[in-house]
Amino acid sequence: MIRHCPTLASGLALFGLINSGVAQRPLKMHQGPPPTEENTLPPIVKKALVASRKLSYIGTRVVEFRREGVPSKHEETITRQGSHVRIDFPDGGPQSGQVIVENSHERRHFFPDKNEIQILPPRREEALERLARQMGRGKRHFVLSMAPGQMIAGIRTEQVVVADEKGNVTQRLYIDSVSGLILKRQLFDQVGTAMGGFEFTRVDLSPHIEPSLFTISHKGALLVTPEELMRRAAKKSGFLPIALPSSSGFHLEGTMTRKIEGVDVLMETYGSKEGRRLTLFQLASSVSPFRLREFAKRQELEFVYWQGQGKSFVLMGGIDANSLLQIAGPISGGTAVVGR
Amino acid sequence: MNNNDRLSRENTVNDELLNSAAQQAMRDVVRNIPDDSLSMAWRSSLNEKLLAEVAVQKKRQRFNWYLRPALGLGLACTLAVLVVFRPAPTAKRSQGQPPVVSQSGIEAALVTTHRQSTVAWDVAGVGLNPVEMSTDSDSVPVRSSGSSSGWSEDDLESL
Repeated sequence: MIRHCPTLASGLALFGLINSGVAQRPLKMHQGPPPTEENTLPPIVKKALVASRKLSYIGTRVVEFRREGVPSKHEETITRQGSHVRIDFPDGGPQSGQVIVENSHERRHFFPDKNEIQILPPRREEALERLARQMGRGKRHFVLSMAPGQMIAGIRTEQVVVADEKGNVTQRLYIDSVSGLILKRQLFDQVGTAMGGFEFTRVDLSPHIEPSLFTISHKGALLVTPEELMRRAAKKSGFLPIALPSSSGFHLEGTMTRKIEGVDVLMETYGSKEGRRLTLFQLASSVSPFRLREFAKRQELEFVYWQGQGKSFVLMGGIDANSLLQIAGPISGGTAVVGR
Repeated sequence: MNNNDRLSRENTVNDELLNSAAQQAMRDVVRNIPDDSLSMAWRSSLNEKLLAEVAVQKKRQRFNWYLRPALGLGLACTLAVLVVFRPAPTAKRSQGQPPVVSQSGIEAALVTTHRQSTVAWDVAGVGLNPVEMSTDSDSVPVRSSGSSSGWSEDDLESL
């Protein structure tokens, strides 16, 4: 059942993390043995965990994050019924006409201008799972505390503040105290700069939803996979069509080409069932592993790198270097080295 | 017999030359040159000069004995420093290696890009993420969702 219900799995994972060290506010969290007492969770967090796998709603939210180094903002309407999700975009916007539907098996994204449907791995609403992972990342301790909420989309919320053990706030969650829906979420970097977030502007928590909303049909549309999108991007920019094999436990979620510091880069993003994320960079020029190590260490990241066929490769993520080395093995031909 | 006669004649000629007046005069001149004995003071000063010269040479040899290894060590250290701290090779590169660029910020930018990407995916959740925003590449089909009539299983599902 857990295997087929990722939200439940993520919920249990969060219970596991939080219960391991929480007794009272502020709630100091430690990595440790599995939890035994569910009652130690703040009620609002328990409510959000339950709601994440049960809620039905239609809501419009504004999402903001940094894209290619600059803040990017867009609006989207989410229709949700348990694990079924549909995303629509406002008319007149850059994504007008695009539709995304997702269930527990796959995610389909329709692009009307290309008459194309991209078939992607399901992403689920992993906010709580990601929160748990971030709080448990590395060997750092963290603190959960409650703060006065705000009125978000006309709904009163309770605020959960996530901070490191020195009190640096990393996240703020604004949760509907009645339904448990996370109505606003903000993420901050190590020095308190807002990295991104979302905020609902309106939400209907008692909607009538037709099941047909969660299917996409369009005559003659082409179905493309992430692997095909990667090959397409690589070919267009003169990169090698190389991707991690599925046996690595990480699935390709997206590919994009970018010019970073004047260097052409093919960037592949990967995710695992556990919610871990990796980035595979392919560059047309070399990089200094010594400098890369210096910067990666500050961000508590590991990486492996190698060169071949005129390109440099860097596989980076928040997992241990030996695992990265093993994952990179099939595509590096065993030439990857740990960046330390 | 003939040989003995010829030798005897040559000896006679040589004796006549040696006893000539010019030879006698020269002999007298040489005999009259005064006998000049070496001065002890001069010899002493020469010895002192020689001793001083030897001392200087010994000093120089001792200095060289220390200096040469020091120079060698210095040279070795310089070479070691050059080898250890040499900049990345720019001209030569083996086949399969990408060209070296001078941008020092690429490494920091890669780390920042990964971090921002992770946050963006985290924030987006089920919604639109940065990769989906930038899918502007040419369309290449994997398989058509439509059959020959242009209808797919999705169409059937939606009925």
